Amino acid sequence: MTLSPSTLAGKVAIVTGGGGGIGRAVCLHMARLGARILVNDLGVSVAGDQSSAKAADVVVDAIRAAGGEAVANTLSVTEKASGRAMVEQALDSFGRLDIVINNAGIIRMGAYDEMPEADWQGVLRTNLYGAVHLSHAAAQVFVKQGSGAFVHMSSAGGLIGSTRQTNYGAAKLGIVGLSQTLARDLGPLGIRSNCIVPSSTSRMTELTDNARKHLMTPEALENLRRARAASVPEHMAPVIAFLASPAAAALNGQIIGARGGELYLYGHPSPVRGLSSRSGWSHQWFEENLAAAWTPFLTPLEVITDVFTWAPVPGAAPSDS
Amino acid sequence: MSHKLRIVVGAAPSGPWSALADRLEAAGAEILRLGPDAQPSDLPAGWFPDGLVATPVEHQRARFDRIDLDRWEADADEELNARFRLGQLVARRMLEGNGGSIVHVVPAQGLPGAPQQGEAAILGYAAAGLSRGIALDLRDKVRANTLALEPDAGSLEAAAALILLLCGPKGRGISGQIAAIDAAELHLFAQSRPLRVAHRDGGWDEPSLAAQVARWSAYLPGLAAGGEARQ
Repeated sequence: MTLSPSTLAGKVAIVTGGGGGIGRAVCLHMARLGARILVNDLGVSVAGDQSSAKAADVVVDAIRAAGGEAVANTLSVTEKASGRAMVEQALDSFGRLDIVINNAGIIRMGAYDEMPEADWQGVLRTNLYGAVHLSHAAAQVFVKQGSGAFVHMSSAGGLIGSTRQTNYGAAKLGIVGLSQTLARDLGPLGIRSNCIVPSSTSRMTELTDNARKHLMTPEALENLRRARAASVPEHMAPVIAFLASPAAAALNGQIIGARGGELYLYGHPSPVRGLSSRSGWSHQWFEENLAAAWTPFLTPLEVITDVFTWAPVPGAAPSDS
Repeated sequence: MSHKLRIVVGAAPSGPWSALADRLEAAGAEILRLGPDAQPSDLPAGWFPDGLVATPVEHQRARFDRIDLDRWEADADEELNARFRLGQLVARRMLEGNGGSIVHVVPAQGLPGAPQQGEAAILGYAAAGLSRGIALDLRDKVRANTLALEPDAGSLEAAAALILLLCGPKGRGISGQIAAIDAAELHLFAQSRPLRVAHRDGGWDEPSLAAQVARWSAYLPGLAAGGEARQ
């Protein structure tokens, strides 16, 4: 394995959902840069309910065949005990832990008024609870050693919004709350936490794109097709690896997007229009004044393709898949 | 108000948020209190709500590494599942009628955030994500907004006045928004959108990413430390 100069050399990372898609690309890329990886993957379908081949083992074998170091873990992130078990396995295997990448996620789509509660809970437990479990366990180690980095997979579906995904949107905005919490509470102790908002081709995006085809204009659909074609998981991996590395020391509590060869800095939810009252608020005052005061500042009811109306220029050809 | 608004309030019968239903009632609304396990039969036949107000549970306050994970999970289950379940139950009834408005109340310490308020932040942001999704999915008939406040008397009274507006005919243009209110101030939030964009022809690597981040240093949003974000 060729080791490029990187501040990741010698670091130990846990990557959840590392058996496929972006997770797999991140594992392979970080290992190529010299990091040692615990590859966690339960081996399930994109809906999280079908057992498949031992995806984690396949990635571990690929890393080892290239001269890197990795171990497999097949626990479900939805179980509270799995977070601590993964941390202990990383410590037992490599003697340290430096990085957690909360990547594991599933999708179960459906309109809100028709969504089964099992689909709500299933997505929340994998995409949000799983990240909380592992982050809490890793935080114990990071606080003791006074260092560590978290990278959390959020989504434009949560930040901007998307249809037929109330469960996914809630989980992915909850992830932002988790990342901000870690950054705020543990930043003064030398620990960083950031979110990545990827746009990539994967089993997940194929599913969501197909489900929304009928809602898009032909132009929007073509832009989305070109955007997906320009963004493969291997384009996301260097950005995620960077956020986890000491080279990103200036970033804490940030939300970074990646799409093809494009890189985005996202804003945080924050006050944009303030009103004050000396005599207290009343229903009558709101009826007479609020529309005029707020309307120019309202966030449009838009979805991802309303914000990203252009296809990105393709990124560089993947070199380390 | 031209008619008495019908508002379902999902809140524990006691605790700091329980007074919100009383404030709404005192402000002139007809209130139906429902627990987290409400069934469709708990909505009276022919009773079409104008609004639903979903409130948070009481959150633990601790630095993230010191939170009780068992309690976090129990609180998350109770709050998030109740928001989903009650919202769906009431939204279905709204869809049968003339539509309505859902207001997800979250603690101001969680959104945008404050130190040692991780539970409130994680659940508050998740509630905002659910609210935005409802606003998009049901946009033709059901509105959904997130309102951050603390459960003190002045903030609850202010929130009640705003909730009546959001659930009434003059609130029809407001959906998918996040706001924070107290007795003296009302803030409408900007939501996360790209502030800066960069492109690199050859793809990104560690040195080029570090250089780009350095160019963005003046634009990096700061973290909310005391309940306010700066940008």
